[in-house]
Amino acid sequence: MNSDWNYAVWTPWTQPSLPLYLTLTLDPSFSPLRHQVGSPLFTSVIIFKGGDATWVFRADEAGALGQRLLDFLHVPAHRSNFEDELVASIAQLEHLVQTVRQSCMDGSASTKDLLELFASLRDGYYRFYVLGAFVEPVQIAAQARLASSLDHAAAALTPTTDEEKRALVSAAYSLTEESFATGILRRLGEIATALQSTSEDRRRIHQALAPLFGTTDHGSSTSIADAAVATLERESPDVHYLLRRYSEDFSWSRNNYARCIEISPTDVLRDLASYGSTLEDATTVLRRTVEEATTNRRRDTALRDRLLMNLNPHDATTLSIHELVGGRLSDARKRLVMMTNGAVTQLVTRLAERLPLAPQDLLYLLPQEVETACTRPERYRDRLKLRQECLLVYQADFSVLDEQAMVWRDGFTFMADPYIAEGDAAVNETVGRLSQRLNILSDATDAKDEISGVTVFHSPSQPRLVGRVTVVRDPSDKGFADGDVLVATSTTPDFMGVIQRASAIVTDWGGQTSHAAITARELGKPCIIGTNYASSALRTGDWVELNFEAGLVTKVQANIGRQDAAT
Amino acid sequence: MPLLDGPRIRLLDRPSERVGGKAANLARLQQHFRVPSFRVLVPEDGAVAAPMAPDEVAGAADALRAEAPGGYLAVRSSADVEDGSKSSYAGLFETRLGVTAIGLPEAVEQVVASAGATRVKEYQSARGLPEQPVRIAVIVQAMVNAERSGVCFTAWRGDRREAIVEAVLGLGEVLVQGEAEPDRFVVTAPDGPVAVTRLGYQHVALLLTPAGLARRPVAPLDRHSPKLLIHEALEVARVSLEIEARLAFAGTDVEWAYDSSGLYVLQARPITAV
Repeated sequence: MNSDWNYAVWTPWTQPSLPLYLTLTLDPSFSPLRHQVGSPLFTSVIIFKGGDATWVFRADEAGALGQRLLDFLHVPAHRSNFEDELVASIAQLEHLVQTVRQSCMDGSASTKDLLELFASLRDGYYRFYVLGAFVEPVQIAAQARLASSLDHAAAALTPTTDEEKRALVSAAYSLTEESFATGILRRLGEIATALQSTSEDRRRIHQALAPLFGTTDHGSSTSIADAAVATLERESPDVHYLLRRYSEDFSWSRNNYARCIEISPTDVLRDLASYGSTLEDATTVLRRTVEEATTNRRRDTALRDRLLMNLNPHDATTLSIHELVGGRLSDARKRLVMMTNGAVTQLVTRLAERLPLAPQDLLYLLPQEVETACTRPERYRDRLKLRQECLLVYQADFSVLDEQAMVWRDGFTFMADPYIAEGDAAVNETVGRLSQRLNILSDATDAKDEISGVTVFHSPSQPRLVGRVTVVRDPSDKGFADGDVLVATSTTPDFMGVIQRASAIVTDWGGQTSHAAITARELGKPCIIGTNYASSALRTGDWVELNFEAGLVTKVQANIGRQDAAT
Repeated sequence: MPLLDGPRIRLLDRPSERVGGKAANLARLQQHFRVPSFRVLVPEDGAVAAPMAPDEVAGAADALRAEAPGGYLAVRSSADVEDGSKSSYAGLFETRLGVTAIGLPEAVEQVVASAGATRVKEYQSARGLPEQPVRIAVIVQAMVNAERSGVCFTAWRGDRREAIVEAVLGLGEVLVQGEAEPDRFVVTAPDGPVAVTRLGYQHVALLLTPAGLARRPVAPLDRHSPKLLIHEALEVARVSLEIEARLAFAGTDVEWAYDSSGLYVLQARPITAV
């Protein structure tokens, strides 16, 4: 249909994921906002296999969408509508998640109730995610537009070293509010402090907790933490209350697109123990980290204010849109995606109890199939079996297979259902077909020796670093050795323990306000983001050289094959 | 020879000139595939249309009564110009569905009359075909109580064949009339998997009920559910490809239906050049 497309710009990324969670982001309705901006969904192909999802999308499409959105948000009325919609959709989705949690806990909901809840949750998620899908495109567009003016503004301000200039530009993109990461550390620090200040019980609690610090044995740390939680519940209700609050407030923080884990007070204590070899130690580390982060943020904010004075009003507005989308919206998205995935898991578990299907089966459905599949499971059983082998979901805003992308249903415009391929044979066949037409995917998994990204932080005294790679998909895995280079698709608050022990961070995804970038600046860890595929191209045990000045990751020695087994 | 069945058609010399392309194809299909029983009313040599002799029409109804659920019949044209591999004349001749024995004479008359209709002339002139009278036979066929039905197109795609199966609930006519968005399955031929599926959405189904043909709303939870299991989509594709091979078509357009007993082939046409 469009012969001018440069198919070289397909961008892949891989992360642990199961279909139901990730495809909730493929909004089937043609939202009025997208209509206003003049762009439908971007074309994407997602392949689910072995618990991982590889998502391939068109970078140029996302880029063009970002440009249009940025222009759209420059109109003050549009911006205020956008903010109103953001606030309203967040409130609605939070309320829905709460409703789901309560209904799943009290256990009296019927299958029909649960399916209705699922439909509401799905629609609430779509409403929010229509905005959420704009984060990366707008960030990329804004950063591209601001690049030269921020550079000029920085040069005019302190025409000193390149290093200082980069710090200034980087500060411009930092958020003005406290990040999740720091928020979590601060709360953990409060618990540590409270544990120390419960005067009369202090010795007993210390004794109970002491073995928890310094142990690396998962089983024994859990049983020690369990016992400590019981002691606290009995003897220090105030600390126990803090633990409970923490686990409720951050219950979503370990969820992702592949698994959903509720954190318990036991987990909170175990987390705390990972920050030091004694309680005092952990308290000091946490306090110092939060203080540093706060100082850095204050410094960044001051730098940012100075830069802002040197920007013209149009650029200043662009920067504030960047902050709205890359900051508030992006933070909300991280939290709400994880919370929604948790709620979806609860619903699916409850539904599976009443159906001849396992919860795992339901996670291989697409969101629009759940009601039908739960009512007519026999029509899906053959497909679900194949999907667990491999599933490809292909959605396009143009017709590659000579199909229309928009359809009318019940008086509304929807994205037509995606094409799906089920099972290894069908997926291979479909990838072959798509590759013929679009020349995609073939490079997606080819290992490259030199990978380029963007350096968001490094110390001027250390322009290069050589280190051993550990690719982390699940931050609770125990295989991370101190001083390794952390390579991940992206990071979340759950990665804090690993980040602290890493010598450097490399991510596939994210901009200057991504979790990895913010955390790296806050903790003073060298960090390269936006490599697109480092986590698929590198393997644990590879040795890499990071060139921070050029933003390059170069493989210097491939994993010989034994380290994986050893860790 | 005005009332013929499949085996007798197969004995004819140049059958598509005598009974029309569609009836000739049906007779060949019947040899190898499960085709609902039919009779064909054939024009006398030199005549342009099937006779209206009441006893012959009644004879067709009698012959099919036992095999038609509820006694319902489908009445279609079979013209010497129709279903050729160059010009399809598709949709120009009237088809009547859900016809009872009592209504059969009228239905046959209407189908025959459609051959003289202005739109046939318009079609001929639009396609640059010589304006010629159309010789028309009439197929009377037992209807299948279709739970699911649809079409299957087979064609070469690059250096290999593929079959595209479209499926709806009930009778396939909703598809022809564009009233439903069908499920689509693309099957890689000859032994490949269902390469891709795209589910459709169907509000209305055309069903054969005891009271005749009826348009019924589809229950909300059935609107968006897969119409075929994977092995059924593969079966439709496999049968269609076999039809293509046996009838020596370059590509074929098969109408099929599942009732509770299994798969039927309703019709097969060669795919015409676009």
